Amino acid sequence: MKIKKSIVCLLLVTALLLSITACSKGQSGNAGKAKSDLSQQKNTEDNSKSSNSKKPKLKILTWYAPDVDINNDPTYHDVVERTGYDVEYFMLPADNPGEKLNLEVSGGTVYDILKLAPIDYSRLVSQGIYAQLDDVLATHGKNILNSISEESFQTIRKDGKTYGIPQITERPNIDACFAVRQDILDELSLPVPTDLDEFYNMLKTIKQKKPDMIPYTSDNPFNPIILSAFDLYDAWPERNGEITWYGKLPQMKKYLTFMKKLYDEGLLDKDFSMNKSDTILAKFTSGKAAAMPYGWLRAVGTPEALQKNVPEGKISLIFPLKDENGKVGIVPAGFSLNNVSGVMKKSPNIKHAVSFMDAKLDPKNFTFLTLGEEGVTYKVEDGNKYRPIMPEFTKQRGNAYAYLNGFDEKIYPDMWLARIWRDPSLGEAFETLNNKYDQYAVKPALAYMPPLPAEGKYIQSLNAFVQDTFTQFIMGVKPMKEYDDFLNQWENQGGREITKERNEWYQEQAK
Amino acid sequence: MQNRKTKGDRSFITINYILLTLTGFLTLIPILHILAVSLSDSKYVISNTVGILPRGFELEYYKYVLSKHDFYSSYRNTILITVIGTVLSMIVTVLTAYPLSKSWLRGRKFLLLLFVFSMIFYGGIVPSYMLMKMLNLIDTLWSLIIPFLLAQFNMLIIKSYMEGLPESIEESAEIDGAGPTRILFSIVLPMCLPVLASMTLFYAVGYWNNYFHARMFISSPGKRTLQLYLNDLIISATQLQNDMSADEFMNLSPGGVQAATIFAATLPILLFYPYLQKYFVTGITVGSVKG
Repeated sequence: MKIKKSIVCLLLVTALLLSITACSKGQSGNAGKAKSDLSQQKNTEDNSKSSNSKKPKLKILTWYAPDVDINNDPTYHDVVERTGYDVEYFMLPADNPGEKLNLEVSGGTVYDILKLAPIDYSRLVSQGIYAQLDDVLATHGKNILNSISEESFQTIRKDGKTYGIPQITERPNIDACFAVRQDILDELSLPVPTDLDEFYNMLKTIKQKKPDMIPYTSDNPFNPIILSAFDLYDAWPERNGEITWYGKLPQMKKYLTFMKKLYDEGLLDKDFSMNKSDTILAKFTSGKAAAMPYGWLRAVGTPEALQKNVPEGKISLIFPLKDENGKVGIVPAGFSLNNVSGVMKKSPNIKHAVSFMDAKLDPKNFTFLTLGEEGVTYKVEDGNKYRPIMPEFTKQRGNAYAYLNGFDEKIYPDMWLARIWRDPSLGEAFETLNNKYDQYAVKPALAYMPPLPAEGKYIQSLNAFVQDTFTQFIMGVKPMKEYDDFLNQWENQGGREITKERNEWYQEQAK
Repeated sequence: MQNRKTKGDRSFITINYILLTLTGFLTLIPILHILAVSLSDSKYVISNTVGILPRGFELEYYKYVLSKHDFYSSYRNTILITVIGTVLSMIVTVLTAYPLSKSWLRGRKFLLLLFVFSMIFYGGIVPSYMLMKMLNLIDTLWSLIIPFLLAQFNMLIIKSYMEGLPESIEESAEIDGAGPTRILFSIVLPMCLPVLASMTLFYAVGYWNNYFHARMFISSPGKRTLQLYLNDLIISATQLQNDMSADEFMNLSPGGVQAATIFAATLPILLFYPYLQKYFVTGITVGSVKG
């Protein structure tokens, strides 16, 4: 009896174990490759003899794209159809993606394509995770090389070798201005300010005549509109052939003194150090604040929200303020690397991965995959004005941006505007700000600079340090005479290394 | 003899009731606020003028949240993991606790030491990840069940409780010819119902709330659990996007979307909790008192 029972027990246990492994096979779907996964640790590449065989399924890890059913979107199906490759997308989390990425890489998971933020790309390049693409691009990446400029490629090369396909920001644009209550300006007979004196005057008058309102609310000590009046457009401008941080320029002290004056006289929100971007929006739209930092992105929904609470409320824009010589300037948003797509060294499908990305940039496919069909999802006006046909555009190509691995830099900047115009009020806000692009835009000295090693270490804490200290200067917690002390601290906290590194990169580019 | 309450007693009780009701209401306020935000017109949400009651009643946010395919799939994933995980966990835990509760088990001390040791020391996420990878469980729902089947703490509680059961009942059952399996299922388990109910609850809550391991093991968007989905939603709503994702952006404020999602996800738990509450309270102490 006892022997029988122990046999039954043994059988039950075995059955349980088998069922578990069997279930996991069903779920994961590629359990059959368990052994071959381990053998993929070798550096296997496609041979020409296998290129005639069926195209492999490609695994793509991409950074987080909100609200996208990434393996089911209409764009996804069109991508699969046009390129002929079956692909499966995996997404990193929105929160702290670097942690998950590091875990996967160190755990040995193999993807074919990695589409990552520049900082993650930099880190993985130095770890040797990526395959070198120079040769593969020459044979399988003609469209990629035609679409993406040498300048962009330069930003991601390491030791002269290419490890990824760069995707720069779509189109440099001015996205910052001030919003001010035009109805209050009318009431107090004030002009929309164009220089520092008018701006100060406006705030002062509002404070006097409307003591309950906050003249100007903000959520951080930097404001490009005011900085423009002090010639401090670029945070890292070139002076005498060298890159220097604008905090070291004499104008910065003047800027901080001016901001301190605003704070002391109650013209700047006393709570500015604690405000978040939602808070200042709430203060403005509820009628508590007369002016706030603004942009075209924020322009959506804000006028309506203001109207609900303050029926007579109207918004006017304040553009970058002039300095005493009438000069203005602002560094547009953009001019940077958006993401980089690379191929893992361990991937068995390096050539196929590049072919896949190349096929998407084929002129036959690119417009279709980005904008859809002319006359159905988009239309072209005046030669280069791309406009969406709603709601088809959003249905078919609303999430097309998530499927880009680099874009055609000659035509996409214009095509991207179609996405903005999905909401006409957004399009108008964008245009209002960017009609004067040529008048105001200042290209930054460090345009398209990739993330550099020393930066990764220092930049976040250094930026936090600067923001905190500037806030303290403005609030009067720290007296302005300690500014030189602050500069020394800045140097020691990584400023020196970062400056040196950036200068090296800058000199390299200038050659 | 009836207890007569003095005036002092009565006023004490009344004040207690009032204070506790007020405190209870205070803890309700954040939930009511979230509910109000999720039902309010975007314009009020942006300007942050919504209090405890919704302003400009509208169901847009819920329509948007409930139209998301991922919302349902993540809910389904979490429910699957919780139900299957809890059932399997209870089976494994009971089958582990019962033999360990017998003092004459050979090697009992050693086995207990192993369990307690593994309870205290954890190898770290990277070894766990590599283990899951080698077992081909990465990016599957089983990776969130199998490693967590046995919570040693729960097992020890059940074991303690079983140790407190009178031996005589089991002995008399044995005399009547029952085998160990029969004794376990027909005699011991019915006596253990309070602790089993509580441990079921502990396991269920553990599976439902599992975030970190889910985050690390799951990569496919469709296999995300509810916690991952919520986290992604809330974080991405507060980030600036280089490109807009959908034209829902146009009319809805992210704060409202978050509020509606939070409420839609937590409502079932909120409804269940009052009924299960008493088991939580008794469950914590149930394994500690013997005899």
